[in-house]
Amino acid sequence: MQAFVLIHRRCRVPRLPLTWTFGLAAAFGGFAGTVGALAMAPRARADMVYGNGHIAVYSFSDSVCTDLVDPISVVFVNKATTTNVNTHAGHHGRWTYRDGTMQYFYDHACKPLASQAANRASWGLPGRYHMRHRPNTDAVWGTYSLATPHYEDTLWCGHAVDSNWDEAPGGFVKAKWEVGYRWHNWNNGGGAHVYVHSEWWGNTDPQWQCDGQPAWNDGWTDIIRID
Amino acid sequence: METQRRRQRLGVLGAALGGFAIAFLVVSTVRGGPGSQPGTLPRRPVLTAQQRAERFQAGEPWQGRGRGPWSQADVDAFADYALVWLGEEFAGYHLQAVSRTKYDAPPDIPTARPQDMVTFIYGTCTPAPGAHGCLAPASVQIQPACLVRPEQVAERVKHGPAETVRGGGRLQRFADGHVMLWIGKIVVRVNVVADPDRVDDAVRQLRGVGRLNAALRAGGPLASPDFSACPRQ
Repeated sequence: MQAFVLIHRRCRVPRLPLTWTFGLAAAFGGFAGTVGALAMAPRARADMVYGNGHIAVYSFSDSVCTDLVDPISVVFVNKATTTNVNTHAGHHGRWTYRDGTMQYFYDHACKPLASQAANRASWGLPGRYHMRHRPNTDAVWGTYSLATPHYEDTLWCGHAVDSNWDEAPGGFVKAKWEVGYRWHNWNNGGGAHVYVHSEWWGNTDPQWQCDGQPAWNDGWTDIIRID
Repeated sequence: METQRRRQRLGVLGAALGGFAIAFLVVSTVRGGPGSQPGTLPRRPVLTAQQRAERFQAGEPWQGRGRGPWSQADVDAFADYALVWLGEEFAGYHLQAVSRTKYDAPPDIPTARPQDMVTFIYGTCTPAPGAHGCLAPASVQIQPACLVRPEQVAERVKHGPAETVRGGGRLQRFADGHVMLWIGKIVVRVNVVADPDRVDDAVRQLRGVGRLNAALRAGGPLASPDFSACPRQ
C-alpha cells in the first residue's frame, strides 16, 4: 500500500501555475469552438462564387475577373489540352496565328488564357477568326478547354466583332459555327472531333463594338469532344 | 481553501467557454455561416464605383429612335409575340437601341440553332484597354418561349431553383447574376451587367410594350409559362 502511494505521488502530473491552466483551458475551448463552427457551417458550394459560378460564361479583361468581355461558346472536352486544341485549330481551320491581347478565364479561380488561335494575324484584312482558350481537368469533361471564338473585322477603329444587326448571325455565332461545322466536316464523317451537344448558358449580353454596333452570342454553348 | 478551489475551477471553465465562443464567432464569420442562408454564396469581386463610372455610361436619351434599326413606332407596332421592356431609361441608363434578330439555322450545320430575339439595349460603355468591345450596362431580350425552354438550361450555370414572381412568371437565376423569365409564350432575359444587384428591381420594373402587351404595367401580374404551342421534344 505504501509502495502504491509512493508511485502514485511520483506519477502525479506536476501542478501547473494558475495562468497556464487558464491558458490551456482557453486554447482547448478555442479548438472545440473552431471544430464546432466548422461542423455547423452550411455545406455551401465553397468553390462557387456569386457572379461567376464554377465557370464564368464570359472571359474577362482584368486579372481579378470583374470585367466581362467575350462569351464562352465552345468547350472542347476529353483530351482538349492546349496543345491539342491548337493542333486541331491549325489542322482543320488553319487557325495557326497566336497573337492577340491578354484575357482571363474564371474556372474555380481567375487565371490568364493559355493560348490563342486565329486564321490571320491580328491586323490582317479584312478580318479573322480568333479565339482565346484555357484548359482544366475534371471528372465529367476530362481535360477540357473553354474557348471564346469570334469573327472580328479589322476597321479604322480597331477590331469589331460582326454585328448581329446587319451581319446576322453575328461574329460570335459565325465563329462558333465555323468551329462546329467546318472544323468537323460533318458531311464527310467528322474524324477525330465529335459534336456532343449544346447547352443553354445564356451568355447573350450585347457587346458594343468600336464601330458603334453590338454583337452577341445566341446563348448556346457547344460541347465538342477531341479524341 | 475549498472556496478558492471552486473559484479556480469556475475560472478555468470560464476561460474554456470564452475561448470556445471567440473561436466559434471568428470561424463562423469567415465561413459565412451559420448565420448565412444555405445556398448563399460569397460574392465575387465586382468593379468599384470608379471603375463602373469609367466602363459604363448613360448614353443619349431615347427620342423615339436610337442607334439601332428599330424606332419606337416599330416597337409599338410589333405583334409577332408579346414584348416587355424597362421603359426609356433604367438605373440611369438610357435606351440606346432596339432590334430584332431573326434567322433560320442553316440546314447543313447540325450545331446551328434558329434565332428570333428582340433586344433592348440600355446605356453605352468604354472598352478596357486592349479589348475589342464591352458589354452594355443593361439589356432585355425577348424570344418565343419555344426557343429556350427551362429544361434546356444547363445546371452548371443556374443559381438556385426556379421561382414564381409577380403572380405567375417563372424565374430562373443564373450564377452570373442575370435572370430568365418565362411569361406566357415568351421568355425574357434580363441582365444589369453594370450592377447585378439591380436585377430584381429590373424584374419589378418590367412592363409591356408593343401591340400585344401594352396593358402590362410595372409590377403587374405576369402570365404563367405556356408551352402549348411548342413542338414536342
